[in-house]
Amino acid sequence: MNYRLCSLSVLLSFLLIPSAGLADTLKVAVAANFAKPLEQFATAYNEKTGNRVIVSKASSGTLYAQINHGADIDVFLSADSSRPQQLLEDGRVNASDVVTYAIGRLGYIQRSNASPDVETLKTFALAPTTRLAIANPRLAPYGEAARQALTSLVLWQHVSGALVYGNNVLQVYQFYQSGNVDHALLAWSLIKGEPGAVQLSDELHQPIVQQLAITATGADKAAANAFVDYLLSDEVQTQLPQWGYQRTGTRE
Amino acid sequence: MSGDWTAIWLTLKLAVISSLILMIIATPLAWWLAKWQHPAKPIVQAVIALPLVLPPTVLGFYLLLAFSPQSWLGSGWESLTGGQLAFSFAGLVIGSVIYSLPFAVQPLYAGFVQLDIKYLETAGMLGLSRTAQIRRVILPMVKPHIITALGLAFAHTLGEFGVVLMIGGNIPGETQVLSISLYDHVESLNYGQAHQLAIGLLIFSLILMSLLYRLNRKGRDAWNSRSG
Repeated sequence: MNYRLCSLSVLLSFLLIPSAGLADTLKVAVAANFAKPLEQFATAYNEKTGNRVIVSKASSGTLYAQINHGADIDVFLSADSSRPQQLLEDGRVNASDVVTYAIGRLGYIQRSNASPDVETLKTFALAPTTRLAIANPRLAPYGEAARQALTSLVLWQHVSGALVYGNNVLQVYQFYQSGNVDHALLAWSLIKGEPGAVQLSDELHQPIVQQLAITATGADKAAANAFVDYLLSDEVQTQLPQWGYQRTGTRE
Repeated sequence: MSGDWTAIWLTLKLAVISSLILMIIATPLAWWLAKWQHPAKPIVQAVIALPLVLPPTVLGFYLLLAFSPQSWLGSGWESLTGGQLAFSFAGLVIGSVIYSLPFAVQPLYAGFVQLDIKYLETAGMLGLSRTAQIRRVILPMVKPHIITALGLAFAHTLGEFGVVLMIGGNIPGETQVLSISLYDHVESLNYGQAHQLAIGLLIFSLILMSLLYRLNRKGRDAWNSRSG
């Protein structure tokens, strides 16, 4: 009995020990739309430097709330600029810790036309017979961009009754993939190369500025800075267009 | 805030409709289950209890696939009603009924199992008709279980989140229920409004559950007294 209790507590204490000693393990939280490219960049970074990067993905709002309540995250890659800026306003990070890492692009995907363009969207949205999925403009920057694009095309009025809202772009994609909607506006990065998908002009909406914030403190800060420098390096930035993003300038 | 009132109204509507449908389904189901003896019975019980243990997202995911126009359920519904199941109130009702089924069936089952057949035989010998037996013997004896089943089904539907998140599409007045509205407020950093909704739901649920236990004080330990 005593022996069992003993081994149980030994086991438990192993589970509870934080991975101390691994100073160069970075915890990076990323908005859902950028998770795939980030995972690949993290692997490349690991091969290059030997430093491990643990990626956790969620919506920007959830990640912000977690960080704000003390989550142990070293770098936070948001889908927008407002949440990193909010961390700055909260005094959680310094101005030099917030930087743009990519510019997002908006895409349109549908099932009826093999090579669609913006006219396809207009034709559908002027008299929608089925639903159009977008991300929730209140929560997701790609949702706000979709709203702006539909407004610039003077379609918002016509289509607003036919909209369904995904929590984030991944859910919008899931609505489309599962066959529950035939039309969706979402991150171009998710649908690039798929049949029936087209990138919408960047002029239809405000730039989707994706910023990150370095939330690490103390000893982890240098490692976090090094990883961010890697993300902003030409090596990574030149790959962004093939992932469906626009590259950004260098870190000031 | 007006959007929140719409969400509150919608949530109450969903909970009332779902729990009424649940009682209609669960009562005969629990009755049959209480009488039924078969090697397969544990499997049927397990299927009914599944929503208790599965993450709601599992149910939501399968419903999303089932609701799509490519599936028999989605296409059947579309040819019947002309509408779509996903992102509709009807879809949420279906989801809620499945999701809250064990909360309605289990208390009723416990009540029916407890019911001693001797009372019914005596009532029969005294010349009570079948409906009189139900009204004057069965109903009074399982009343605490009926109240528990109805209350739990209602309360559980009020708090539904994961399923609605997957199949709802967040449409105000149609599928944007209270929990989704609350989630939106949290995600968009409206902590004040989120707090108002959260505390409201908490107090309401507390009152509801207290009432339920108070009503059932006579039938003490009615909840799962046999099965648990």
